[in-house]
Amino acid sequence: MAASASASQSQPDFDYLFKLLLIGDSGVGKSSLLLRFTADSFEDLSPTIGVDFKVKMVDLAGKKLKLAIWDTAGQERFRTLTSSYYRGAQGVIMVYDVTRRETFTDLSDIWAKEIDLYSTNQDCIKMLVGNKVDKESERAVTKKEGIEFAREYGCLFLECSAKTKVNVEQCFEELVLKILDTPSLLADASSGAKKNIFKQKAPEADAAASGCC
Amino acid sequence: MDKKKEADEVEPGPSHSRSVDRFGFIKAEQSNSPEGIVRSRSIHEHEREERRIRKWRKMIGVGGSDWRHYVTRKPHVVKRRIRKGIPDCLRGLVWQLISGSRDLLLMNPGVYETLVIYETSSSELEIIRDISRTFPSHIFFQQRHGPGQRSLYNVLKAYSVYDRDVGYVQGMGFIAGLLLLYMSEEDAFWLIVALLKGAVHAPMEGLYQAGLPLVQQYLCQFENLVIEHMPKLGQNFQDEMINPSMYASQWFITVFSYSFPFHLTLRVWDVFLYEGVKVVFQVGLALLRFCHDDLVKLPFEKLLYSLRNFPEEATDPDTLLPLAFSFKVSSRLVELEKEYRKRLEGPSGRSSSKRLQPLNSKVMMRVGDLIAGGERSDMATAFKAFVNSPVGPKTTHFWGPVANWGFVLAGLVDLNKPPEMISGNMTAAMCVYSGLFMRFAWMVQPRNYLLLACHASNETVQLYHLSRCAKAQGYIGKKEPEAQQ
Repeated sequence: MAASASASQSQPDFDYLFKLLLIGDSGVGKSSLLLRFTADSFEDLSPTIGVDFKVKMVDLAGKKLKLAIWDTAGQERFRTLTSSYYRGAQGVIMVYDVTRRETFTDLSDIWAKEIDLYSTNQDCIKMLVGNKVDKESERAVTKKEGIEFAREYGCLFLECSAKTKVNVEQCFEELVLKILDTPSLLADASSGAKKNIFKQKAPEADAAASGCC
Repeated sequence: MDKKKEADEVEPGPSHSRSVDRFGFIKAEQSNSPEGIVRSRSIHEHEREERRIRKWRKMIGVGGSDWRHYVTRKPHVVKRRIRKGIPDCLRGLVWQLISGSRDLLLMNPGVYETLVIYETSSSELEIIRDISRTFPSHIFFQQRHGPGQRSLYNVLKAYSVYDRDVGYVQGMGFIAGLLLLYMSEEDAFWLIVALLKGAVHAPMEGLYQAGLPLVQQYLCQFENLVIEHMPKLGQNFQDEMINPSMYASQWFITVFSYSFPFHLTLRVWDVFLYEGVKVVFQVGLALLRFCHDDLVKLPFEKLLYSLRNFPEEATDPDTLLPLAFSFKVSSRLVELEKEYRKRLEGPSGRSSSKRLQPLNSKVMMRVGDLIAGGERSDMATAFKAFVNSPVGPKTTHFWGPVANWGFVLAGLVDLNKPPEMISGNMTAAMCVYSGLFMRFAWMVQPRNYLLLACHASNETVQLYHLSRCAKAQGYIGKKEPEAQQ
């Protein structure tokens, strides 16, 4: 991950900076997806405590894009720490584990509501991702169910595997292409407004919640 | 502890299929030695280690019988020795003694067994899912369903039943795992109870309760301490919108057991169990101080990256801990906690917002004071930073040198006294003494310029006296009269 972060930072310029957020139950593979995407590797990862953050540069549709991706802890108890990271995100990736049904049902019961509650971008793009398709024999959520969910909640949908690399890049690419198609999201993501991208959404609202400055 | 020994024995074996470091972690393939600076032990060092262990054994007594007596009689000796690191072979026992978990264990026979065997917990599945993700690179925890993983599960499940408000929270696994490398399941369980319920220090269950109230409080206190001790860095954090929740939550939630080199984690835990959570703040500040000059310049992403990936030199306990102890934070932590509580109570009574306004504005003023915003507060901050600095007037590192200026003054007063009155031995001793202190003042972290200046002055004065004395005794200057003749 050292390589990915520092390499991406050495490139001086970009056209847009997007803030993305990974959410979903504990153990569905959010951190693994991110590690596969930013560093193209796969390993046993410890549970995320609080939040993690990685940067990746991509070239898409003739534009240089800088993706700032927040990875959040999935366990319910950590939601007080993670809720402030929704602010200002242009894209949210909701991840579930295709072999664990409850991680899928929690998306409508919990995670979609979290987005409504905390997201500040009206047009924020949502993406549904079913991870771990390499364990086809243990599958507990069909692809059709995923598609239906996506239609109902108006989000993009893909199934992928961080382990075998299938569809991982596509997840991020599709999401980013959709963001590029949404003018209201581009306004504050252009490199001119680069400073603000973090600022407006840095978890200052913790202050309100926790009484911290 | 037996498992530890196994690990120790594995290490020297040259061509083990999987090499393990001295703590039992499987080494990364590139031998970038993740355990920090590896020292080859000389015989001399080995003997010193033996002597140290003997001292510790004496302090503990048979089965811990002398410990309490020793602690009450010589608390400072104990504190000093613990700060130097508890010998690894005694660590498990000493941890139990200093955390108060021993007493809990003895007072509650059979309780742990009941919790493990007869009770069920709603967190069981969650715990199981995380078991293989806790210290996955340690031989003890690597084997699926092996003894390590089983113990870890039992301890976590037992606690989630024992305290259903807390249940199981990710991060607890690292604490339990760390303890299990040094003690039995039951001992580890009671140590967690001692910590979370506050057997010796303030209870820490708030780190894991719903809403993570204590994490929020610690982060807020830490943010303030950074601003007070390192105003420039505090400013950069503010400009770049870096909030401690982005990098420090895991420092508190796992007490540095999550992502730091294991040898550092152990040394922090030695002190943490004896002195309390204050050391977590101190170590956090020391990490920032160590990288301060880089951190003040970095923009958002690089800053975040650096705050999660400290260089190896920064995590060497022999460098980091002395630096950490130089931050005096106890009294400020108490004040900040009070302020934080006050502010918390503020918004909760929002209905009567009018009544609360004066209080809130007072708090805001306070905050304004701390954040180096306006020009006026710049001075105030600089002064505050000096007052609170590790060599500031709240410490002996300030008043010691001040008192030492007495030597210099006395030396100056004596300048006009006849050289026959000078004691050569005493003056020479003073020269050596000041020389040593000059070196100390230069080498100590952070460098103590006041002490250095004082002893440089004294060195000058005393050397002058020594030369006068030597002249009077005829050691030097003999040639002079001859030449005159």
